[in-house]
Amino acid sequence: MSKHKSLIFKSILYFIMAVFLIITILPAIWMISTSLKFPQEIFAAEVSIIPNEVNWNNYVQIFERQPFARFLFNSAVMTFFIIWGRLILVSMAAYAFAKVKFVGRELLFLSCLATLIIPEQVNMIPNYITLAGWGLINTYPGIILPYFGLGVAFGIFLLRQHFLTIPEELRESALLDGCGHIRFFLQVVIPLSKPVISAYIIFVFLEAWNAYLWPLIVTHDIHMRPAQVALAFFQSEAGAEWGLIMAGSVIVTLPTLILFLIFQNKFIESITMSGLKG
Amino acid sequence: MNNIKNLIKERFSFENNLFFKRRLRENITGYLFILPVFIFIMIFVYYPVIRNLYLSFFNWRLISPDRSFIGLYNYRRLLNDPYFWNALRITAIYAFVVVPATIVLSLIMALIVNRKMKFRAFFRTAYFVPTVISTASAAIVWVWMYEPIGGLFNSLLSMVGVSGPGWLHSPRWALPSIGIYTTWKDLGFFMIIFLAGLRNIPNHYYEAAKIDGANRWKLFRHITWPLLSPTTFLVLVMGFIRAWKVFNAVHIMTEGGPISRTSVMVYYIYRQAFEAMNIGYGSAIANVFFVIVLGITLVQFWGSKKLVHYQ
Repeated sequence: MSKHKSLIFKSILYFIMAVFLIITILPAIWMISTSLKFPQEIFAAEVSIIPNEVNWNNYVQIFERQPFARFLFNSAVMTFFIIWGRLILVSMAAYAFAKVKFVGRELLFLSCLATLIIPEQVNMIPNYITLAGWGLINTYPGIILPYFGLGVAFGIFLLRQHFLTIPEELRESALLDGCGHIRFFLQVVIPLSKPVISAYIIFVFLEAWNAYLWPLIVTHDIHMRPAQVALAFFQSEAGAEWGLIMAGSVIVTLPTLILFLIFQNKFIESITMSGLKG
Repeated sequence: MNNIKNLIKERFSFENNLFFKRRLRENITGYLFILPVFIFIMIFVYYPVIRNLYLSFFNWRLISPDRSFIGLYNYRRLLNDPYFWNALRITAIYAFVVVPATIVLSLIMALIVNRKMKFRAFFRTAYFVPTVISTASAAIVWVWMYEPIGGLFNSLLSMVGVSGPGWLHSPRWALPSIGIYTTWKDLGFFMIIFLAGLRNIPNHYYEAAKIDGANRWKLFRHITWPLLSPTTFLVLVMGFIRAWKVFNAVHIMTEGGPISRTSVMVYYIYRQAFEAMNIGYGSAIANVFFVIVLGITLVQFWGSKKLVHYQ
């Protein structure tokens, strides 16, 4: 190929790359920028990315105007319990499907995988009635419990695939030493599976922190709302106070953004894994 | 002699006994390990599917205790409900536009990031940012950027002398606006899946073709595209299922408006069941929705066997 042609190709390529870059990161920059502006600058005619005068007050006010700390706490509680509950339930089942021989194992595993084709939007009405019957509307268990059944199949599949790679000889030699399934599971299998478990934790973290529809349905009391839902309500109530709204948006997305920047490769790995789900 | 026979018999029965005991224990362990998660799966996944069907035969407003059996009436009502047909149409249009757009753009991004070049890691990270921003935060920034007066888009447009549309407030632009937002949000996610697919194409194919003098387009057309087809198909199906489930963006950005122009299926189910409190009718729509999503999934099973070119 001639040098001239290659140069044209390269410049077109870099142009496309730059356009994509602006498209993907501009909204995040605009969010941070607006959150640091005074109202008069927000509605100024000319567009400015870097604020003329930095206004940190939005980040203080958002906590005064709304029980925002409470919202973040709700999200943290919800995320914490969904991660740990899922991890315990999913890893136990995955271990049984990979390493314990019991009657009907294949059929039960299939019936577990079959839940993947049922959208959670189909389950939401009956689940609401179930939890209302247990008096759990507007409570943490009400928000959390359905996540121990919905969406666990992917995790079971993922961990089982990994547990299967642990050699059978290891189990046999452990058995000779008098090591039962529970000890083998906790002391051998779990430590050997740290990479896949940590990728799964990130996957569940993203799901729980970003959960929207179910918490929206199951919380009527503003104090029980997780941050995503509360932020959306705040936006529709606050009208044009965009500095304040954007400060809230930055705060709500900060945990995911920080985790992403630290564990980038794990993030990408867990997204790739979830692609296998379909 | 007899003694030895007895000894052998004893030994065998002992081993048999041990064998059965161990198998029994193995079985019990297995069931105990899967029991907890299966209790939750039964209560929150399988039972609701049956209950949804059951509820759809009733006229029941959540707040009142009386509910009456009305047979298939909810389904007949659905056939004559213009808002239901509207939701079906809107969601279908949305899916048929957003899915191809997302696939084309995310494939281009993946092809770019897959090249060996400077700052590759930086671009990959940057392109992934939309996927990492939280649901509500991302949607709300876009509401702010879409604002007809003072919003970023119309401010930029007015700088070049164009008066922008009302975006989310305009009946004509509301659905495209939501589509643009969700496409943007999902780009990174699909890019990563395409990247994984691209990595699976063996490099020696390209090298062999280059020796034969194939240009870039030919490499893409005859190697990348056919060998990527399992991934493309996966992304297509996943994209369609995601598109049918769209809710968060609509709830945050437009609440189904203006004049129901963005009232997608899941939003309509939500409205009927949790705002109008029509549990029975909401369940009926949810069942139709389930059948549609199931249909897409079946197409996947069928298609992955017939259509896709595997190595």
